[in-house]
Amino acid sequence: MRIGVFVCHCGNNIKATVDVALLAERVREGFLWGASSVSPSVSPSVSPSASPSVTSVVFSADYMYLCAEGGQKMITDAITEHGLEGVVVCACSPRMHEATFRKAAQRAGLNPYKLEIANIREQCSWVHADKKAATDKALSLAKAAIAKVKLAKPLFPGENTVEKRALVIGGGIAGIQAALDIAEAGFAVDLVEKTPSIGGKMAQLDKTFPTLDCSACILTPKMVEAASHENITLHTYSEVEKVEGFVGSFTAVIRKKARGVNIKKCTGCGDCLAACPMKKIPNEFESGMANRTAIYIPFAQAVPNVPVIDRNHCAYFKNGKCKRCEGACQPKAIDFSQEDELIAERYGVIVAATGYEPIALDAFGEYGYHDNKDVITSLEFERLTNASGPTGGKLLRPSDGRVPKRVTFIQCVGSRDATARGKPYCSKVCCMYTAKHAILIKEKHPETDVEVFYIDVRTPGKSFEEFYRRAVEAYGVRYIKGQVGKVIGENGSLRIQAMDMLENGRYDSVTDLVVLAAAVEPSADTKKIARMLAAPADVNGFLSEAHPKLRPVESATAGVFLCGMANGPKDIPETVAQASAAACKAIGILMKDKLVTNPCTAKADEDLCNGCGLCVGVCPYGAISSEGGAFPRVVCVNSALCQGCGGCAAACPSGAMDLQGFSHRQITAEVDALCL
Amino acid sequence: MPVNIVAFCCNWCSYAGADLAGTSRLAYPSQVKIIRVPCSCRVDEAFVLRAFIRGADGVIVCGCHLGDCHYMTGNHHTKQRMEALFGLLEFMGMERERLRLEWISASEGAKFADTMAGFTAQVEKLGKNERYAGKCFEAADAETTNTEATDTETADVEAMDVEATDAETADTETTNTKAAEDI
Amino acid sequence: MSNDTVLKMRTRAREMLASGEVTQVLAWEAGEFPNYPAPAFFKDENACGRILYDRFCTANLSKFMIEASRNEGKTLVFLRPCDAYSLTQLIKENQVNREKAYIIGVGCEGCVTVYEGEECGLLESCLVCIKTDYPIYDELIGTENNPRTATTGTERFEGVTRVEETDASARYGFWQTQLSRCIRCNACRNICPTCHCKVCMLDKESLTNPPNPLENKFFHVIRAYHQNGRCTDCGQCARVCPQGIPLQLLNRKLIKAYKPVEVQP
Repeated sequence: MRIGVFVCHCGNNIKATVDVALLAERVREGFLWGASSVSPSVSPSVSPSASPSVTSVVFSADYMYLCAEGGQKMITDAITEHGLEGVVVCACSPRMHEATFRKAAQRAGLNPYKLEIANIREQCSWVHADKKAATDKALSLAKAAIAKVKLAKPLFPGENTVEKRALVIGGGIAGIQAALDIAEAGFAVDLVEKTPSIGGKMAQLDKTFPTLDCSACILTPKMVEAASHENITLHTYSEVEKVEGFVGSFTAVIRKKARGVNIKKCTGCGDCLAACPMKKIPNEFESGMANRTAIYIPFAQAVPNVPVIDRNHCAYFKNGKCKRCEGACQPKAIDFSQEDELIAERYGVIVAATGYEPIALDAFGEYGYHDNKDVITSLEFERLTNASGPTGGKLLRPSDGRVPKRVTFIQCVGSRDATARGKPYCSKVCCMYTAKHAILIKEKHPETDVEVFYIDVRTPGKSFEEFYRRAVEAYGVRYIKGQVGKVIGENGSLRIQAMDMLENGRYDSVTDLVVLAAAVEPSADTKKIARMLAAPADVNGFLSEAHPKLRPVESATAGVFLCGMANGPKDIPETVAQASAAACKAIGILMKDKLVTNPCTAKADEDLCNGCGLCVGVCPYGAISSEGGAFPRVVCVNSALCQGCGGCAAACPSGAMDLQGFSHRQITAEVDALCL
Repeated sequence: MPVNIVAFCCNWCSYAGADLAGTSRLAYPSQVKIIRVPCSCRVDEAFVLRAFIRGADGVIVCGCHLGDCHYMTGNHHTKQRMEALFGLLEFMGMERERLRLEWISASEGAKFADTMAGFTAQVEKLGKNERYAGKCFEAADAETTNTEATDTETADVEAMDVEATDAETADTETTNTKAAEDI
Repeated sequence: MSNDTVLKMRTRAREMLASGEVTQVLAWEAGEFPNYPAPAFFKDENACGRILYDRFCTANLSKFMIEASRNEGKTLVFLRPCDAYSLTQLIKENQVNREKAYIIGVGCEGCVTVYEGEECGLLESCLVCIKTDYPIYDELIGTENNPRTATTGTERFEGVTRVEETDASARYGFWQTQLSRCIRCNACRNICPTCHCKVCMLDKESLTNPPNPLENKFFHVIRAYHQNGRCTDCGQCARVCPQGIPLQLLNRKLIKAYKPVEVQP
């Protein structure tokens, strides 16, 4: 086989540590294991007369940036001019550019699977300082790639159908936006939300920065549009239970939890709420600052505007008594016998928009959150200022209903925290929403003193810096660079013990209301969803994008897209942008009639397979079946279902089952080349 | 003498973690050489044993954390297999510290670098591998080099024919190995 | 293994061949050497008089069923508990067609080792046997006379434990000594019921060519490892090894340490 080896400098990234010119030279040496080398050293100039029956590296070159147009042209030209039958590219990780170089090979008429990459950047030049050691290792890695490509067979991808339906998990602004965009493009969308109404955290907010738009006013039209769009099916008070399959043909099982109310009959009149005797249940939407009934609508603008019976608190479900709501309901929509419904549906793509939660503050006892009614979180503050909130929008202290004379904001509660109790990252939105809160207070109560304890003020977005300066200059909000050590309740007020870092001294203060900017974390179900979708998550639990710059809205798992806080802290403008981007990627798949599949699938050698079936149970996709019922049996792999993990190949004792592209012989050859 | 470490890393998690160690410029010993597999469950016991025969002093198999496998259940199979294999090798006298199974995610670049450094140091303490190593292959190699050459040559000719006809089902290398054995 | 049992076996064999219910009978008959019976197929009622069943019938008949179940008609096979476990595994692995087998479970008092035609005590695998039930059968003969009580089940791991408790160098030395005697006769592979690959991996692609001492050791590592979760501890491999290598230690080590694949939801 005539092999060409190309070594990339990657500017200085590889060149600085690996002697690329020497590497390009040394790959031509015969290096079969054993005392004598079989493949004669080929002279630096290409020798077309090299015996066709002996594998040799007939061409090698080094180049500054192989992935650039000039580099790719060098490869395609060499394939044509020197009749290359196999190509090895020594460069960055195959996860970066294997696809790029394989496409180039294809353009030159070489089967793309006869090209292998040696990772001499991420796994060599960037991690080893000693030039000789790095160059020797690069040569080893090159040899392994050459050994592998020697045994490569041409592979041809297959095709899969695409189910023209999208599943969006999460009904906050991210999920709503993505669903709307996909629906507008003409595809059916199922939007699944676990709470009784769509809207998410944005529905709880009062105003949004930096424009101070009313949050509900910009959100509710989208909510209504999502509910009424002909292509969108809402599944509220529902959860995704199981997901199987792969891009183009996912199957998901959705559990529609029993509301106890017939959505079709309910008119949203609210008579049932008035009739319910259980009135002291903490209202989740109000962050626990107000109560609700056992049969309840989460908030006034809920979509769908249909109540749900909280079976954990309903008198009927707990002790068999009551049913007053049923009596009060004129359209007879209450149905206590309703049960959870399981539906299974097929989808071509899945969008994960599962959102966030503020962290629990149990580990932050020094701020007195659990001991004082007047120490609240920012989300609770949103409810206080919201006209539809527990105080009708009046800024009143939870303890005694008075207007606070001073409000103290504490930033970075649990964010930028290297210890185990907090999160190492910046939660991104808190500097801006605190400035917003400060401005809102000053607008209603210019006489109230507002102070903010901060470490840094981060205002990277459009008009964000100007907004913050307004808070300081126009509204007189006091910003103190310092950290609060303790919040102590005292005689109905709160005493703050803090350090002022600019003044380099103690700063103590007596205040009426403390607002904690708690860190954000992925919502509780994100981990479960990540596993269901086989979508990787990072160390903080946020769903990981395939590449932070090149593929920011796709999961590494094909067909799964990410948007919103589920993927990382971000504000509403970024969330909506990302949701539309995810929708665009999803549409890109949905509009195809066929998807090209990965040809590196498993294959059973019929002559060697004795039908023992040890491979069948290993396959996560059920791609392996026994042919017929007769003896002797032979197994058969459905290459449309096979995802190419190779578990079956390793399970097969005789080696009859093998994985194309990562065959037994190929990996064995790689091992040999690396060790010798 | 420096020890040789062969690492089998799964494309989706541990290989990506290795790449992240690279992007983050976290150094680890250059004796560690990585072979990419689609899933850690691709790792056959034959590969592990082959590495020791060929002169590796330590073998580490890396995969995704349990529950996070890109192929859902692959790493559960890896765990069962490698634990059985390592237990068996340990039973037969190989030092257990030469073998390791580690779960490293795509975002754990630091963990990758630390694990490789730690494993290399651990194997260095044991020194070069003498047990179940390939010393007796050296004599055999000298005799069989010619046989291997024939093997490779004919295999390549067959491979070219296979490409030319675009058919690729027959395992021609197998046929040629058998032919070599007949010699 | 009373006289009674073998007479009943012969009668049943004759009956089933005569009625055409089976076309052949798989059992044991006297072999070349004294107290060395061999497995055999009986296709004729008259031949059934040669059927032998005593404590010298050490061969496990289940593996012969692989080929037998591909023949025309059913095969009557006599199985002891250990053989029945092996056959169950072969059926599970699609090597034996259950419908082509008529299984008669036969009572067992354990088999004996033989040296120069003389009996020398129970086989090692019989000494630690834990199997008294028949996981698969159509009929039972002589099983009311199963005098052996099962051992507690831990005795069979004593050898493994003794090796485990030594240090790595001692273990290495032990196996170097044991496995250096291996001559790659492949008897263990031939007799093992779960070694039924069409072409053995180590024949298809030898680690070196020709086989050498290192490869002999790896042969046993690989063979034992391939039995992980499948070996039924029939003890045949150690019994047939002409070099007396304690192969059952490898299989039992894996049985002792066996963990199924745990898949979390």
